[in-house]
Amino acid sequence: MAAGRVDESQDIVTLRIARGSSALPVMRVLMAGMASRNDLPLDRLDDLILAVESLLAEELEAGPEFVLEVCRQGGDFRICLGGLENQSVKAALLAVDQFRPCEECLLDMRLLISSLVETYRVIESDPASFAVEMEKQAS
Amino acid sequence: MSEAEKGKQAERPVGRNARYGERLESLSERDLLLRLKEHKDLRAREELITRYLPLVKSLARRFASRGQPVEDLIQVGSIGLIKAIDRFDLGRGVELSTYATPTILGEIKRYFRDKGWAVKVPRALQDLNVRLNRVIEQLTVELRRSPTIAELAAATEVSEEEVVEALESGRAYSSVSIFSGGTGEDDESLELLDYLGSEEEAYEVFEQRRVLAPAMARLDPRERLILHLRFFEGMTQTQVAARVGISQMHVSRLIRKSIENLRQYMAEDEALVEAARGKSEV
Repeated sequence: MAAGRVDESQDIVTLRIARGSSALPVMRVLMAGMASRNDLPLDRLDDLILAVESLLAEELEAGPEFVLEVCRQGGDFRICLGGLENQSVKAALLAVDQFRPCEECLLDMRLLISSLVETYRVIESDPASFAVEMEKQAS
Repeated sequence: MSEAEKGKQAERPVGRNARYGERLESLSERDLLLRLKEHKDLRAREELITRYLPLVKSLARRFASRGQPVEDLIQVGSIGLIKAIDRFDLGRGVELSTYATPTILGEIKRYFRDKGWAVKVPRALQDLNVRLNRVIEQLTVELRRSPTIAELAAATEVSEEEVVEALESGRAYSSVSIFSGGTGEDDESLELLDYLGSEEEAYEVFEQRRVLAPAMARLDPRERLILHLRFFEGMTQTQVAARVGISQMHVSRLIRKSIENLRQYMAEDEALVEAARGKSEV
């Protein structure tokens, strides 16, 4: 189900995992392990985990496998979650709009992700699926 | 039949010891069950629920260390109790308590299972998770920032792997799996996912935001405050924790619970919109 690869020189871990109930726990353990190795404080780790959880929560049960890449890049902790298919989420993340959130307004995916990480970008791999690359300062 | 007549009927003696107009509190369990089964006396049902609530509380407390508020478990257990009372067959020759206990426990366990929580977590991990919660709070105060896993491992004198494992077991209680769907109760969330997947244009997403704006207002004040501070004010979890006066771990759990509630409200609102659309088309 899952296959991991550790690149010692660059400290990058790539996880390919089938959709299913165990995908998220395995991803969490991987992120926690990398956070431990890179001294990422717990609340920052939790933000990253919540970002991944939120993206996964918008995905359907059936679909391609997920690919999670986790690495430390300079002072940043970078994760890239691929194999996502929800086009509505993609549109929300790519949108450049004048919408100003307020307390009464819905917490949407764009606001959620942009609050949880320092920067994010959508990588369009093919018309059907995409990846979200997110960076979080390590300290 | 008028309400007054129904009331009179409910007051009729149904057991050997139940005299007309006798107070429900003084009736035996069997008499209450007879009133409920034969006369649909809802007051007898309420009396049975009241009598058995301590049993529900006692059973719910068995799960107190599994990361969920006991009040929530009591509520879930109460549903099990009501089911047991409604389904109980006097002719089976067993006590209601004998029948109700597994029903209540089943409801609580199903609640954990449906939410994707690991019910069977090794005791050592549970204990470490409890210790970690305390240590995280202490270190957050001492360091004036959230601790790292290495710092937690040093403070609790266990390996970093054990810390990761214990934290994950703790997270498992409050995590929500969208992949548990397809079996009854989760149909609604899957419908929402189908809906989200069908929307492709950005402007529709914006419209969706506005239509669903009331969802945030339906959260309880504390949930709304925490989401507001974290996502609209840009505070970190640790800062929110200090502001609200709870631990960072608690903030983390509340954020997840609030987002889960928002998703549920969104699904409900969407169902209402669909229902209204269906009516207008008729």
